[in-house]
Amino acid sequence: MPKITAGQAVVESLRAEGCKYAFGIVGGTFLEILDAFYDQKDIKFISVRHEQGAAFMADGFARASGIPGVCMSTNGPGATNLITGVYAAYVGHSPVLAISGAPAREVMYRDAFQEIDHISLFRPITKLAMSLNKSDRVPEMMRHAFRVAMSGKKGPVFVDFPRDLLDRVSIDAELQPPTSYRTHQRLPGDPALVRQAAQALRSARRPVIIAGGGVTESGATQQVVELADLLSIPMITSYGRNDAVPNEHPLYVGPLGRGGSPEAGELCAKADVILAAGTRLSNFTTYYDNRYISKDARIIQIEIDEKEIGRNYPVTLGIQGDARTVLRELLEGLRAQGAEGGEPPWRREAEGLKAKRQQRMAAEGRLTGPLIKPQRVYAEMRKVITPETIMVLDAGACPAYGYDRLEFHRPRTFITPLDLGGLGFAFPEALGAKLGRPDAPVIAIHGDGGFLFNVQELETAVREKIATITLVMNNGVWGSEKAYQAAMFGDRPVGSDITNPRFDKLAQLFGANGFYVDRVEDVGDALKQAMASDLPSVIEMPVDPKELPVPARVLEAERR
Amino acid sequence: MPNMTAGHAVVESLVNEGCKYAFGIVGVSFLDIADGFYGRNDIRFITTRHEQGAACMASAYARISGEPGVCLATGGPGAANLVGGLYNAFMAQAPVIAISGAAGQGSTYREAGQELDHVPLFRPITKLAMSIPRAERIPELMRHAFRVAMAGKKGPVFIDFPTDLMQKRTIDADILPPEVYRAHQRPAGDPALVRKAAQLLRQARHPLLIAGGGVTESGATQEAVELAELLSIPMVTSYRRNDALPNAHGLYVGPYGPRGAAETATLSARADVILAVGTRLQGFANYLQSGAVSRDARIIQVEIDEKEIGRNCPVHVGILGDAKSVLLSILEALRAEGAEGGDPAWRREAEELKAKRRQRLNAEGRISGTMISPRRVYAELRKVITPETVMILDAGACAAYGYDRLDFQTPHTFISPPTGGLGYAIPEAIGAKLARPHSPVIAINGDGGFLFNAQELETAVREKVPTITLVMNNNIYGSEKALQQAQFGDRFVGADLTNPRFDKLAELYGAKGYYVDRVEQLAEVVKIAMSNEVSSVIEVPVDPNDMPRGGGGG
Repeated sequence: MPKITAGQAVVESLRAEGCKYAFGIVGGTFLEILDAFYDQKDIKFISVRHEQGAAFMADGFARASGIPGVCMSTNGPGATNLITGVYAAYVGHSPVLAISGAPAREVMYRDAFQEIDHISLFRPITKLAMSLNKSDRVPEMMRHAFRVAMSGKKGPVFVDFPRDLLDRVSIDAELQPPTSYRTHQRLPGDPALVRQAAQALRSARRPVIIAGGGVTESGATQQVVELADLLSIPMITSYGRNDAVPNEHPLYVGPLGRGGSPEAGELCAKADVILAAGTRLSNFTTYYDNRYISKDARIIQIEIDEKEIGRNYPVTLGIQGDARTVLRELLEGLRAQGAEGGEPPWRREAEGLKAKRQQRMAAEGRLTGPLIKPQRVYAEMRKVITPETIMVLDAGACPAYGYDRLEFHRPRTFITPLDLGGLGFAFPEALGAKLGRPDAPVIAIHGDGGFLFNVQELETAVREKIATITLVMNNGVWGSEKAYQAAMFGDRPVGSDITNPRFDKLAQLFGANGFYVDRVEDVGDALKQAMASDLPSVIEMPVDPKELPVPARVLEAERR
Repeated sequence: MPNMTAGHAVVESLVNEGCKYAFGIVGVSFLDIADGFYGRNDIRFITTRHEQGAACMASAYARISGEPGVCLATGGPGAANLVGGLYNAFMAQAPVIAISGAAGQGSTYREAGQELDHVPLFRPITKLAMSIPRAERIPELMRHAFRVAMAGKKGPVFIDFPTDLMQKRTIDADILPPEVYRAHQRPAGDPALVRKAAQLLRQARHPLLIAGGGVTESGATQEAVELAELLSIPMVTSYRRNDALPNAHGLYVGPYGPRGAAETATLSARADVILAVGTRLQGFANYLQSGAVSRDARIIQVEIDEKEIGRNCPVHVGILGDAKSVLLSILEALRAEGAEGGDPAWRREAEELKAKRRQRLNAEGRISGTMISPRRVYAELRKVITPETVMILDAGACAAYGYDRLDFQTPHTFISPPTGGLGYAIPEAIGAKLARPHSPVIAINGDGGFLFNAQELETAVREKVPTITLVMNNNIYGSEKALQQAQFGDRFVGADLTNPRFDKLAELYGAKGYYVDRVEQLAEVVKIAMSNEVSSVIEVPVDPNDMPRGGGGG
């Protein structure tokens, strides 16, 4: 068996999985791994300006491409800087490998330089956190890391490497292809449950499909559409998953949940049978109550993760399985029975609600005023965004409008913090997404509050020629929080007002394109110019600070 | 007993301990607490642009003032962003109260919005991590947080507040004075051990005093100096603790340790008795092995933390206690016996080594060339830094030169990262300036670390906290490039950077920016910056080949 260095074994393990990039900052404790990149052509190390940027980039890469993302840091402070981005991958069910060096074993438990218990820190935010304990186990542990990250409901895995186990060490390289060391099987559904599900859908009078992240992950979009077409079932999408089905489809009504379409909510509340495909029916989609999910609705839930079936709502049928496989089985069964059709009045109701949503959005295209309204910005954006464009939303008030004001036509074109709700997410995630899908335009939407969190990665973007577009809607406030404070405490704002540098000039200082757009009708042109450039671009737009969405938790409280 | 909202009770607990600032970013999960700041003029909420900035500001405020620092974040991603700065506070023994909101008890274990199990996340990097189980217990648990943060070896404490416990809840809040609910005692050393130590010092031919962070923390600088003067004991400071002793003192030789002055190692190799006060003696095992300390040397270690005595090297006398108390007892014992003097030859040896160091440093003031040497930058800085100036070093190669090239006369004027993490200096400077508003505060960065938290320049300008940031720009992650070269030759991966003009960046934020490419102009620019009423950033391009021996690290 050939011998390679332990560091090379780590990098070869990444290559075997098709990883194209590792994002990180050089550090003394993982120089052996870094050196192994020097001769590589298939995988590149990308230096960033804060490890938080590295973790978000790895996550964005994974979400856009489906290939595992990789981030690396030195131990101690480098590793702690990865935490928030790894947590983002955890709540996003995204396969990310977070790798960090660790102090040599002879200084463990001596409060040595940069010593810290990584495993305890990463345990709450990963599927698995491991520390290498023998050099020759590198290939085996890396395989296990990928096995866990890529199986079932995906998620991040953390591995650290005590430096003495890597420094100047060579090991036997028993490298294997992924097909030999982890399952690629797609779990089918229980046939009896699938038959019952077909029956329930055939006899439903007002069925609805809620398509979630599992549909995108499984590549089941086509099957959802076929099923909707076969039985005239209206479709809605769960929170942050607007790209699970093509929005132009006449049976697609809108996104459900927080910041979503009231029309989709209205439709869902009337449903007698809900096919929840690849969705947990979680808090941001349903508020956990019965405003959208009627107590009388019969729920058929298709979910890969057994821990999620029946967790938030009682199911009539809980089918554990891969979304695409189960939906194919369902379609097969229905076609064998010659099922087709559906209730025309229900279809018309759905189409009416879809049209209502479209009219509402179109009306926003006519909003004017001395100050620009965020809703109008989205209307202008919709004129120029192409079907292959990937949209990335940050947390915050202005980006939140995006949950119900963008149109998606292809899977894997929508990236949001989901349950993380963290500021500073979008810009670095967009950079990773662009590297994952270099031919797609990638647009990140920020408020001013979140943009500065990871603005330093402008330098990375320019240096590495990652041409994303970042739109910053600047209202000079932490908008979400200011809205909450006003709703809950009246006129007693604390810490919610901020000032800002000119973001377009900041971008130019870094060597990127900077645009300042203070007439809303000009944003389309700015976007087009940005899309044609091979440099990253930042477009700043001053927007009305009074235009804030009604706080979600206030809506939640009102309904109780 | 006064009745108030749960959120207000939290703020009252902070004000009760004299906290004047709280750093953070408002978030929906702690709005009840945020509301408690409204309309108060005894405590000010300072909004930052990243929670890492908030943790660093709170930590530096604590390290410079000796009082607890406070940071607040929303649950989930906000709290996660606090981790790095709190880990650094933990290693720096800085008392910080870190507060975050948390998912309501009604939705834990449902993987809902911004839910994160904070307590296990913060446990490894704090003295204590708690989640409030009932609103009524807020005053009690806030007291416990301060009790733990401020007792013995200080450090950060984390507490989260589930939103559903807080919302519109009122409680009876018994706010008590700190003297009543936590110890302010200084533990004294065992008298027999004190006597033994005094005797050893009297009999020593070549005694050496190493003063560490415990000396500064305990306010024992004066006692250390008195003891040194009584017996003519040469003094050095332990790594990162240059401000524990007045560097201008005739008996002070230099900073000790691998990043310190080589002259101190020459001295310690000849020491027969070493009095190590308020220091863990980290790395001492290496000194014994390398001969920087003689194997026959007898070590007296004075430490407040029982876990540290004898941990890194065998001690002859290990005295558990507060540095100031113990030093006072030793002084008393020595004076009672009429002890004084010391070997004049040993004193001269020390003075020569001190002079040798000064000559070395002065010679660097004459370094010239086509590119600026970081060592020359420090020589220029020394011309204008005043005794009350607070210096903050970031991690990295150029900053690392600072460990042996800055002079300190006053305690609590030096901050550097025990974790060796890049990027803390800019926000730390803001916290430090708020703790010592009348002192100039200078942060020293490399370009590698500068961008990590540069966005806090907006905070500094908005909140009118004038700090000075010096950036030595060599367009590389210098420490690591040096290490790569040493280990792998010219196979550089990820070590080269490009950068925006930092002076212009500063100006975009509303600060003053200076670009100094002729080093003889630097001193003047720093003086101007010291008198500016707004923050300043001074960029100095430096020679990428001028690296400290062995890279820089922290």
